[in-house]
Amino acid sequence: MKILIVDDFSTMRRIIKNLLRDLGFNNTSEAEDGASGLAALRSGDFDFLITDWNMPGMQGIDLLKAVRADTKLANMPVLMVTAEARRDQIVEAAQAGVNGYVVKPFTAATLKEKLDKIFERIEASAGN
Amino acid sequence: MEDATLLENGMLKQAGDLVSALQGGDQLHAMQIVDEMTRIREKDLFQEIGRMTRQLHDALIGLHTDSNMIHMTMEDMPDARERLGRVVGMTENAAHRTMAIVEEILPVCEAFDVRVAQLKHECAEMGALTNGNKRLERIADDLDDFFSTHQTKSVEIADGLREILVAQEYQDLTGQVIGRVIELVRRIEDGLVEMIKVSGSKVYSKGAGHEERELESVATQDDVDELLSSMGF
Repeated sequence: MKILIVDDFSTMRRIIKNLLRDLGFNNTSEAEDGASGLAALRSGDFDFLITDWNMPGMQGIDLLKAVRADTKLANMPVLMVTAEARRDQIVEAAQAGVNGYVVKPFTAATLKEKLDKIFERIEASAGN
Repeated sequence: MEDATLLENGMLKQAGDLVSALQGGDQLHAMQIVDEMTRIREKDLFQEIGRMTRQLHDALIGLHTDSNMIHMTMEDMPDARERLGRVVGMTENAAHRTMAIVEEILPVCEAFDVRVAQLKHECAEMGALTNGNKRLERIADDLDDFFSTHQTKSVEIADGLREILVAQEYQDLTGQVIGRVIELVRRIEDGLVEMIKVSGSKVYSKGAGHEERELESVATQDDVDELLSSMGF
């Protein structure tokens, strides 16, 4: 499983990378904004996207919309990890097709729980 | 105060006249009273706009001669932004330093765990070979106790280290807040620069044409020692 982590703060990218490694996901890459994230997704063979919302340049929500609009990437699971916790934003992300939403500050357990939930749903829909 | 009372009395009289005119069915007179009241109101409004325009004019002239205001806009505000930016940079470095140490220690803990599990197993084997030697049995028990405690505590240590790692998210959260303050200061600063330009004062960039400040901070302990020794300490 190859995972792309998109966040403008290097601290947060490193935290997520470490937590993923603990959960057994060793194959991760990083990007620091939506535009370079999208370029990486288009040129790489990623299976999963974890993105922040508030970033300079292309925001996480726009990255999510671009992923859903791209025929090759449309089905990629996307987990949003962000400090943006306004109701309308969560609704917007859900409508744009986000698979999970983690609000900062978060714990390792929360991240694991949301990832597990996404994988469960993917497996369930693959089984149908 | 007297003016206000006069105005109030005038308005009361007009209101009374308006009620009488309406009750008497004199529509024309009623409309004349309403027009008069509107006229008085508009006169006040125009007078107020005139007063505000004069105030704005005086403020712009004042700005032209207010060197404190210009200094604050051209030097203090960019300086404040730069300092806040440095705070974000410093917390970022501190967070990475902490995480680097955690990343180094966690595998060491895991390696210890593997070795302790092996030794615990060997210790059990040794315990079976003591042939009733009480001293050896006690040593084997002590070692087994220690290995068991290690295994429990090791989980706590690893959990604590992971907690330290996740706690570094403060840097992202505080960095975002500080970033918004920097952006706010920059916008106020841009607005003030425009006002200063309008007032006809000269706008300059921070540091341009100014002598290097001696307030610059030195970087490392070596720099401090070097500076002090150059001063004869």
